[in-house]
Amino acid sequence: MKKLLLAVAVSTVAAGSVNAATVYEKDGFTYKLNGDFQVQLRKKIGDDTNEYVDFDDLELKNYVSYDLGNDMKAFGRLDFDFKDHANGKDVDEPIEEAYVGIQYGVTSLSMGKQNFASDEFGIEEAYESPLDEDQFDAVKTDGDDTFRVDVELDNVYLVASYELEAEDKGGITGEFFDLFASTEIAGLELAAAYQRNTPIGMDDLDTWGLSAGYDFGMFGLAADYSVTDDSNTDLETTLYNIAATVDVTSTTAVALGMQNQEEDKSDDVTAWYANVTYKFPTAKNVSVFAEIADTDEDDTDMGFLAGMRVKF
Amino acid sequence: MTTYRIQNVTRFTRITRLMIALLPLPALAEVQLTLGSCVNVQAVQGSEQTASSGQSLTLANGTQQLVVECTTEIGREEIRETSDAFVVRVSAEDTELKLSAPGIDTRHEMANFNQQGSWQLIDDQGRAVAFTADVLEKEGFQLVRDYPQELAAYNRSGAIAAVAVRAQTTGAELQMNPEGSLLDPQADPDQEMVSRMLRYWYLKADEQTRKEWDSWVDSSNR
Repeated sequence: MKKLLLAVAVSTVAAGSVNAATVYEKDGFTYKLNGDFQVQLRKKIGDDTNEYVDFDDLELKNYVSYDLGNDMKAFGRLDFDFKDHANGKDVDEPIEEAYVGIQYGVTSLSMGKQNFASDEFGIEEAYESPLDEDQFDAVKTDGDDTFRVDVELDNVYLVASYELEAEDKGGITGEFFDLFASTEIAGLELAAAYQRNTPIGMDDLDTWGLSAGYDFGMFGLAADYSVTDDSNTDLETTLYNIAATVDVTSTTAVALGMQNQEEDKSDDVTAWYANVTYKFPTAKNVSVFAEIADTDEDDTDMGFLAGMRVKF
Repeated sequence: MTTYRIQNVTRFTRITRLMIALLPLPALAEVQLTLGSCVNVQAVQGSEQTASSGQSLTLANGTQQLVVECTTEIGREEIRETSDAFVVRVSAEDTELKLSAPGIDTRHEMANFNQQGSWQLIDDQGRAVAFTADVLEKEGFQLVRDYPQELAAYNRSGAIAAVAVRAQTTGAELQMNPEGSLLDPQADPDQEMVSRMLRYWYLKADEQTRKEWDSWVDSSNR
């Protein structure tokens, strides 16, 4: 039987596709703009707390770079986060990060207002961690007078940072020296971090951390452990996290986690959380999510949150 | 118009329509292309057509040209990054393919991907399928890109993933003008097949039909 030619309709849409992130690129100059808006209805864990609309992130991130030739690049970042303003907190400026730097090959040097190396540490998957995310976050992981070195090799990521003992609007801050290293071996991600904090006129606080995680494809499992040794009090505080993530479908993911934090001579606190995230299939940078969490502390009610996130 | 001409036009219209119905034109077979994680399509065969990771596209057999990119979240702060736009050219028939990119979690990996263009194309048996990929560069504002126009310029340049500029099959129905001449706004890309079919049916025609065909050809080309 002779076959007929079947017409194939090729649909066309209005000309012009919007690109994510890169706004301008010419003659070695690049400007990227990213955004992250996360607003949620939240009831905190605690005793008889009230629901409220929480602005978790209202970020606009600006990144510029110039190709200097010879495998060198100059870059700068200026990130704003207006969440504190939206939440009605008393803050003067919304600058979250502001730094400049030079990249040569796989190595970047930067200075300014930015995160410490130890901020890279941690595996928890909560939208709002019931306890501190890890012991580094319990101490401090960002500063205004921070020098940082990043080395990105094929399978190894190394970061070192140093925060000057310098005056900012809150007074003279202490000195921080941080290290972070991560690698991947046969799908197993391993990381280690260290921080030495020397507060003004006080002895050091040393924090160590180790983490491991494995991605099984549709399912991931990770754990981390961090400990702070406070020379001033001779007390140690430990915190560990366990988290599991499941990609239920291509658009829906579930995360479950447990935390335990214990300071010497005090009762430990155990917390758990469970969340679900749905990313819209036609625009996966838009997601809705919900989370419940609780601790084993006395007189506390379970907390919850539900919200929406738009990233670009 | 004389009665003779009207009768000839009517008969020729019927003949032409019969030829169209009986021409052993090839059935449209297809290629199913599934997009892997992070992969987005911005254009197919010179037309703007979008699809995102996890979705499938149905492509006609033969050489296909797509504009693709990978969008993922980088680093601990999960900043969204999109790779360079790539032109991917592949030739395939009656098969299922999957286009994917390697896992990209860091800026370094994204930079490597942009430099190396390490896309992966496999068939339903997991075997690698040959393809050509090249960056579709554009200077200046990147917010809104006209991919059909950029692709046209890319193809004119003869770059490694370029295809010969040819008429597209838009799927418009074959039409007749009032004089009974066959109207097709764009020629079929496979002219060898067209020529074979014309010769085949001409040889099948009797003398009267051949004379009428010759007259029609002459009048159509005036």
